[in-house]
Amino acid sequence: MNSDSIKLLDADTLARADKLGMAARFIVEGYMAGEHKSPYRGFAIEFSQHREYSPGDDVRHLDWKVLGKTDRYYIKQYEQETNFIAHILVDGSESMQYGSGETSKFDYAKVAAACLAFLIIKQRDAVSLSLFDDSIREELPRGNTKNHLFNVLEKLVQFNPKGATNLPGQLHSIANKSQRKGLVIVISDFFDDEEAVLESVQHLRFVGHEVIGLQILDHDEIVFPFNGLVEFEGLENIENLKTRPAEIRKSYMKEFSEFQKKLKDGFSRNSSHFIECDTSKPLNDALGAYLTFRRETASK
Amino acid sequence: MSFLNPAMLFGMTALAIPIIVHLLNRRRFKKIQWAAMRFLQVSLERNQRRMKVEDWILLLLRMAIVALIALAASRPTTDWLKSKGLSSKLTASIIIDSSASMLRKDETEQENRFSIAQRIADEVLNSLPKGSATSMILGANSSGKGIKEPTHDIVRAKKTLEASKATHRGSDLFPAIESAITTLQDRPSSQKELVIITDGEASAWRQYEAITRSLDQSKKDTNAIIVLVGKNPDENLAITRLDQKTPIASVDQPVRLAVEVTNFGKVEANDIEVQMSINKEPIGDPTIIEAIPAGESRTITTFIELTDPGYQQISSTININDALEIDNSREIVIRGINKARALLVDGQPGRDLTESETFFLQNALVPVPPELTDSFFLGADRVSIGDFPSTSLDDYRAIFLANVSDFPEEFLPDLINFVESGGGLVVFPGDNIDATFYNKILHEKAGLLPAAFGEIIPEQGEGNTLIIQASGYNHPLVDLWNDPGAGTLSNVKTLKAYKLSLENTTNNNKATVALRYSDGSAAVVESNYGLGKVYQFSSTADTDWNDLPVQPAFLPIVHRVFGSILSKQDAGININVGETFIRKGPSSWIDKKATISYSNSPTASEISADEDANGASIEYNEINESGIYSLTIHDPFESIQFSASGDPRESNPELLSEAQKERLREVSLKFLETTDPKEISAALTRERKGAELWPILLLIAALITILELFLSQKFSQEK
Repeated sequence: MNSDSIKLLDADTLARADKLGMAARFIVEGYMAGEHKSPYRGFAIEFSQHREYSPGDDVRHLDWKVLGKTDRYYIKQYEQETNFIAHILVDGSESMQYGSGETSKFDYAKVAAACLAFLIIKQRDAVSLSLFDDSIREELPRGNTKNHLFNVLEKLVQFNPKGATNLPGQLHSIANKSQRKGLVIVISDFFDDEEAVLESVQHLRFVGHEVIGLQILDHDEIVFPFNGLVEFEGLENIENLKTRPAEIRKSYMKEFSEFQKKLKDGFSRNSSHFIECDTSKPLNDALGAYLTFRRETASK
Repeated sequence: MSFLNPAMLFGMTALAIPIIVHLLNRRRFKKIQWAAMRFLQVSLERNQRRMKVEDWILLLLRMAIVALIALAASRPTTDWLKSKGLSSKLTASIIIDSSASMLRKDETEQENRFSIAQRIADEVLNSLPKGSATSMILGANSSGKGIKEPTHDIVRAKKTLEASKATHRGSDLFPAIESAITTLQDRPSSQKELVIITDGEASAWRQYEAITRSLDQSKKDTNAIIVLVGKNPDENLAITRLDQKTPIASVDQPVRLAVEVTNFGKVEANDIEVQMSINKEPIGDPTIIEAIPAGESRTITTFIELTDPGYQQISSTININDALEIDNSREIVIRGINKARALLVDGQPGRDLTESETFFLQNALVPVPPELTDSFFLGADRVSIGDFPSTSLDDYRAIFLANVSDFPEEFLPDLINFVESGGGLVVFPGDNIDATFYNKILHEKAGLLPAAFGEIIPEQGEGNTLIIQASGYNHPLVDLWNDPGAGTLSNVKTLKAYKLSLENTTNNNKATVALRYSDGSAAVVESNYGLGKVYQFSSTADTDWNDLPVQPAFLPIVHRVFGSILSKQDAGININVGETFIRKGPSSWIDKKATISYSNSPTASEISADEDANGASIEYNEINESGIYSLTIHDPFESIQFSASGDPRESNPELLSEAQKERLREVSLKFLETTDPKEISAALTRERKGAELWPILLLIAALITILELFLSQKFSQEK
């Protein structure tokens, strides 16, 4: 998948995102009606402007005060504010450049971020975007308009990953800066110190954020299929390693599994969701997993 | 440890191959950009040491495989492992002297030298490492019989050895040694062995210098082992010659024989009895030789009388029981004749007998009073030239043409047939002859005459005479006069003679000058023609041109001429062992069945006659034993006897000198003088290369290869 905004939002992905988004919106709107316990506070409708009444308008929205003073029929128009802010953090470090096939992990992450942003904005929730490596490289404040979505897409398209990653640092930074509670979606390969990452997740949870970890992995990183003599050139300035991978495959798989288990267990302990995405598999799984998470969260 | 193929040790440089492969492999790493380095780093840190150890193990194993293969290719041998199965196989050539001297039974031995040599050769065969090849050459005066090309079939070699027997041939080891060395040189084997088993008698080493040179030159790749089984005996008496001295052996006439006895011992031999026999029946009392000093010979002259015509076996025996029996007797075959007649054709009869051209010839041929002519073994009939064509030639064995001008050409075929069938033609010129007739018809056309009559010599003038050569009588016709006691031919004066020209001769049979004048020109020329013989004199048979007819030498010359004609057919009936028996015969023999049998053998060999230029010829070259042989032609039946005599040199027990032995020690790997086979096998085992290690090395290399494959598979498994 190339870094092309049109391709990012290809019809299939959009269609699937839209379908899942419809279900998600239904749950959110249900919470807005106040009939159910909503996890989000400060939900309100604020006045925007007047317009003349025309037949068919709901008479409940007539401004009776204006009618009384001027004897003219005006309808009150309102601007709806959301109480849901989703912080999308995309790992833009060099390690995300890796891809055994045509799709790098960052390509996959961009699509995931775009779909989520589209889904969230379509549900009239607000989205902020941060692209980081060892610090924040690109940032967009929250917004829920179509223009904002376009800006999100543009930032994603324009970003070129490089540098070493510092995921815990960025998560701590979000936890410290964000005053309004929301949802923090972390899209990364999470190839960092897992203890520090989980500590930062705990920090986000402590300040009231919900956290979804979307781990983007290449298929080769999961199965380590290499044979023969291979020199692994480390991304993010890590020294190259020469080895016969077949001879260390079991050991690699053991290390990798332990790492994954720690992450999954850590997210679970923090009542957060951790979704493992294989770049060789469709993105739908990730979106489905997200909405499932939202549904579960909404039902609490 | 030594190496049969040391050049292959350079193959050890191939040890670098695994290292180079290892280094090249390091450059063949596939490069992959990788994000999840942290897991790799941990895995590598955990496995690095193990992988390095595994790499070293595999590298060492691969180097060991290369080293072992290079080592195996260099074919190392070791002496600490003496196993017949593992011993380095070799190509051997065993030469056994099968000459007559090997039949000698030395005083301290229970069996003769050849039997000892057989046991030694058998031990050599037994000691050959498994997989070896050997030839088995029976060397006696030739490259010998047996197995010339080395064979891996040792059982066959043993059977050949067992069936072999010593011959009565003389011995010259050089051809057999040369042949064996050449054969061995052509073989690819890295170990070559030449085993020579002989009795060490000097006669077998007559080409000693050539033998030692050959052994020396082949020393670098062929190990020579020389085994001498002979011991120097103190005595040996032998009959070394038995010759017929009378040119014509006629029935009831004394035939003179010469018997030579030689004392090869170191002490004088006394009172040696020489017994003559005819057809194995002793005749008369033995002749006693009183004393023969050590190393000397004595010749006795004895006379026998043949009672029957035809082939007669004549043998002489000495009453000695010494170590070599076969030379204590000697046989020859003599063909006795009843009466032989000659036809004298007189070209100038004269008014009385004394003036006739054949007067001297007739008196020389039949030198007895008229009353004894009928009982004399030779007869001579005179005819004039006019009667010659009408005379039946069947009654005569020779025709003498004396100053015959010419004769009708129609008679020529009869004359040619007469000579071709074994008759003799003797031509004397004179004033009457038509030289053109002789030259054109008899010489050029018929090829009967060996030479053409040329100009008259010497230049006619007062005092010009031709003198017969005074010495150097090489032809059997005149070799009698090599003995000064027999007189001389140089006092014969010839006033006139034809120059005999041997140029442009068309005769298929080689012309030989039997006698010359002192100026070198030919006085008598002879040649064979078919089964017959032709003599051509340059001067007259009477005293018109020379005084030979009145000289004492005339009679023996005429008798020898006639005798050689009579014995022409029997030429080659007394040959030496090892020679080829050749019998010429009429063309009716061609492809007819014939057999040759040996008097001491119950079996006979079949043989057939081949066509040759003058009829048929039978050749037989399996004359290995001395004694009497019979050739029988079955259709028409004819039996011919012949004898084979051993080489007198075989009777001489003289061994190689110490200096010669010392030289042989230098050019051979091992020089042994023993009759004990165990000593030979022990020496051979000591001198041969020990066990070859290449099978073990290759086995180890194979096992290491399997181990390497297993480990490399195991090491490359997922961990």
